[in-house]
Amino acid sequence: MRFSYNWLKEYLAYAVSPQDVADILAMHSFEIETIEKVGDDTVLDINVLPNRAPDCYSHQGIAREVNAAIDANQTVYPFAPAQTYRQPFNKADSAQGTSTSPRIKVTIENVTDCPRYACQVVEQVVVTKSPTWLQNRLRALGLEAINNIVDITNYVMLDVGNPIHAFDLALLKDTKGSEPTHEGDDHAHIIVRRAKANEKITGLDGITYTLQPTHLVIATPKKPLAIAGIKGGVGSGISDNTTSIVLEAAHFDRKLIYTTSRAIKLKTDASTRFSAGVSQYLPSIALARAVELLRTVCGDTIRSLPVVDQWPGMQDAKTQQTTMRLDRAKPGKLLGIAVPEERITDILGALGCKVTDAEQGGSQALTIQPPFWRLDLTRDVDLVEEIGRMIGYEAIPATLPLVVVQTPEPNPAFTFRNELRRSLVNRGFDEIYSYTLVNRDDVELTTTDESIISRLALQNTLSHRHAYVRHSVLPCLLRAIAENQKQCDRFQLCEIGKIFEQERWSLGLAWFDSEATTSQKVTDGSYIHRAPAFFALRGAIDAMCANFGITDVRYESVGDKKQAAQSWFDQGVVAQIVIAGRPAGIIAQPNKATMQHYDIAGNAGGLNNQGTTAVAELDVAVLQDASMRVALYKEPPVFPPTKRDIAIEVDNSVPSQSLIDTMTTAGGTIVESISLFDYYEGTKVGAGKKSVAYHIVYRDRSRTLTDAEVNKAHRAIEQELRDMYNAVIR
Amino acid sequence: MSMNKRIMVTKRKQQKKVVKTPILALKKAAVKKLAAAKTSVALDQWERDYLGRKGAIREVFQSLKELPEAKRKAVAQEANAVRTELVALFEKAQKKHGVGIAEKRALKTHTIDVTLPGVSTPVGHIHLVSRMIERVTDIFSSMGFDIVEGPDIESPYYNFDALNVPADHPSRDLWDTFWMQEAGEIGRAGRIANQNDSRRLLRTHTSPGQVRYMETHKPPFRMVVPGRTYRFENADRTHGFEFHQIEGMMVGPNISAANFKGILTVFFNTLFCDIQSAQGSKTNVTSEQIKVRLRPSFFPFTEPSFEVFMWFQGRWLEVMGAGMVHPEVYKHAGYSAGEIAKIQGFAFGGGIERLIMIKHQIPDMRLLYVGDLRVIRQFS
Repeated sequence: MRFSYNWLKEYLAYAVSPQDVADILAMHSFEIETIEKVGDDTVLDINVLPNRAPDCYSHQGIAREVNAAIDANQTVYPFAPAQTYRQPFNKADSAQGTSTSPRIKVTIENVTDCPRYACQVVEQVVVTKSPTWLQNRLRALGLEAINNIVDITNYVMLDVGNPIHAFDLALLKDTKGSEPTHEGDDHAHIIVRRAKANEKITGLDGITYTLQPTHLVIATPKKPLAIAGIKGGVGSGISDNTTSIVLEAAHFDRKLIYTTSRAIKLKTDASTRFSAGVSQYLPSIALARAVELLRTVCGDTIRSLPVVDQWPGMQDAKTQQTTMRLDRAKPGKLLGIAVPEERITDILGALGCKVTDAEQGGSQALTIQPPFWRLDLTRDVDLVEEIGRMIGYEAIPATLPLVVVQTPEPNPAFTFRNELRRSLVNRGFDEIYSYTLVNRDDVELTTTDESIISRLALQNTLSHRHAYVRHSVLPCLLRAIAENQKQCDRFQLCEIGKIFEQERWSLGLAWFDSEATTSQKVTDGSYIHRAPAFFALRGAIDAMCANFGITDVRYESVGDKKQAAQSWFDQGVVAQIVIAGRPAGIIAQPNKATMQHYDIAGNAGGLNNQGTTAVAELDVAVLQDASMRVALYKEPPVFPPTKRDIAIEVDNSVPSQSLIDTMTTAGGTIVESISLFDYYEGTKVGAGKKSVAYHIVYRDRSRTLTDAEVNKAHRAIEQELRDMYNAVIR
Repeated sequence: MSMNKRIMVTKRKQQKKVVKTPILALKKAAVKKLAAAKTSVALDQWERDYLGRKGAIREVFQSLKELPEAKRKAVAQEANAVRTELVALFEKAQKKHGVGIAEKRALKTHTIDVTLPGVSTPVGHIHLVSRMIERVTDIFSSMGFDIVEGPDIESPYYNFDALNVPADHPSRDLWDTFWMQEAGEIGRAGRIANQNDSRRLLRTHTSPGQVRYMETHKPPFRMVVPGRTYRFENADRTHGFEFHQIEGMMVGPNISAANFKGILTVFFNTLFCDIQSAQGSKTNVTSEQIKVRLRPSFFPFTEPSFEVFMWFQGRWLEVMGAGMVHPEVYKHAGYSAGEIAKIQGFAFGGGIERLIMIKHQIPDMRLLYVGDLRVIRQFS
């Protein structure tokens, strides 16, 4: 918020430069955004903290703050007293006007909505341009100069902090016809009431607002005049013809103005102040200041009538201004520095608080009554802040706490993710971070369920590109592949991040090699060429799992063919990953449509996935659950293994895993391990057939196996393969 | 070693022993031959013949034991002198014609060009955000702080109400919020009202972790909450609609603002100790201690509230918001008035990306979210 130095100076008790003001405020109160010369004035842009809006959205408030800081630190700030200055308001105007006057009548329909409504008629005014000094002050702060009356209302708001408004008295009288009204004929009747449903009012900004009963208006019995606390209406404003005015200085319910301002999307200088809260004591102060300025600007010819002051909320305001108890030791204990009692009383006194001993007889507490303009001081810690900032936080030393030694609570999930990341990075994966917020297409890549999608959707969005929380990390990886393939021929990516709708941690993996080539030819066990990226990524996943002691990892074909058909992956190159019997994720080669959508080029620059790209997504919690925590010692085998090989010719559709499972079962407990060592498809075997060969290791941990035993098991395996798969053992 | 070979060696030794060259004659022959050796191969051969393990000089020493006791010493001295002379001559010749001994030895084993590249092993990189979160949590963990996490999708209760940020108050506008279209249950409903606000939002800060943690922990405690946060505001160089924060809290009978300054001073100095030494010589930054400065601020959940600055490489940088935990927050966590009266402590929250940008001089935080390997691979 912008403040004029010349204006502040009227209220500053000390001779301080603009830079002094800035330094003092920065140290004790508010951050200074800028200091700027404007004509013969200096404008300070002060970042008034939200809790201080009630008392510091005004020049008197800021001046009071600077004065207090200097008063509280006389030895640090040896400034000379100012030659002349006005004391910022420091006591509530207790005078209350009558509730009616010869010219005007006020009705407040609901006390809660409007605890105070003060107004005053001023006659014999001449509407004209403001004097230059007034125009300059407003312009320096970014306000337009309009006419003397309106300018004065704005000036008072910036000076005192309570927004005020001026109506043309003549326009408040609900007379019909074109006859001019005679002064004193009748009362103008001002009513503070809720708006009717869909009640329309055109503001001074020319915009028509449609109001509801949740909004407050100032009205005559016949028409709305203004949106209370926010904006005046066109029908009652000051014009060149105006001769009598009604100055309004009211107090409206903070929440009501805040919600109305948000509902009608209109934020004004007035609504900002009322939304943040203003002291109920201010309206009469503001009116007095306005009349004073009118006299200065318009001359003594003006005639001000008695103030009409309806203040039904007065009692509430007084009780709200509570006294507080402050333990003398509290400021020092909370801040961590010694704060002598006289420092406490000096500082709080400088800020306008009344400080007294709580009770006689050695009580530790002081009784503090904050000044009426400080709505933010409601409890002892608020006072500690006042004391702390007035002393200056610089005075607080850096001291390490004395505590009982305590080891941190373990966080296995957090630790596991860190280890997972290291494991992947150590095998060549580069870690990326993507935005959680994605677009509709990204969501639809992995789910078409409308009920899920609607739970992923944001209500307010910055862009359609970031309108949903992600359902999967895969779209993020695909986008990163597209980005990086322009510069990089081969890379592996990983991302560990949250996915939704059921919020959980997900691990995404991507493998890209622009030079990977798919070949239908399978020779010498190199089935890898059928899907190079897929098998490379699978190998990495297996290694990662092994890293965490996870051995039970299976890759199963995706069951639902119909579902698979409309998916993002290549139907032939996809597997569900099952870890320790739980579905853990998916690994696949993206299909052509997906590659195209994300603009990933395959080899030879085509948009076809020729085995260049594979991605996978795994549930981090499943991985963590399966990871072996404490390995227990097993004695290394002392008896020798017997190794036998088996070569099988079988239908192409039989998965290797099924053969292994069958052999493991058929061979019995002495089968220690089975591993593939040869794979062949082609002319040497029949069409639709493949030839696979495995090493089988037989071992008994308690004794040496006899040839007969091994032969028996091996024959059982061969027989089972023939029976189950019609296999030819070669 | 086979029988045959052993026999051969014995024979050769015997043959050589027969030829008993007088030392000076040996020297004469050697000098003559050396003069003729003009290639490194020839020098090599000469060295083997005369100075080597089975060379002529050594033969002389070997044969000493066959001489009578009285003669031995004189012959040995003579042989030594000859050897010294020959070594000197040989080295001279080497300088003239061949290469140095060390180099020569290397050449013998140099069957490959070691300057050719090794078999390529892919090298991965941890993302800077992960790295910073790990580093920050490590430091706090080493000081006994628990590490806890919370959900990204939060209830207005934990994100605002429990933190003493009232509804319908402009202070809530300090946090521009993304709201989820559909309402719903968020794990662990709050203890007080606001049940009627079942809307869901993306947490605007990691501070919901404060009340969530305190619902299950009693003081004294110290903890940090790292995590992703969201703001409904357009991204620019220093702002993101998604970013990460680290929240921290320490509460006990006597935890003061001075303690907060102490903990943060240790934290920043540990966090940036490597950069100070790394750039010390280059940028004229000595191992000057990073200082922490507090300035007045406002947060509804702390009183007093601070803006935290650190003195780093010659300027004050704003790095965190902080303050002394507001009694209302303890109340919302379910602590009794009696308990609240006996505790005090600090809370703070800062941006992870901000720390990264300071540490690695990254000009635009959006660079961290595009997955560009040319950026990611710079940091290992």
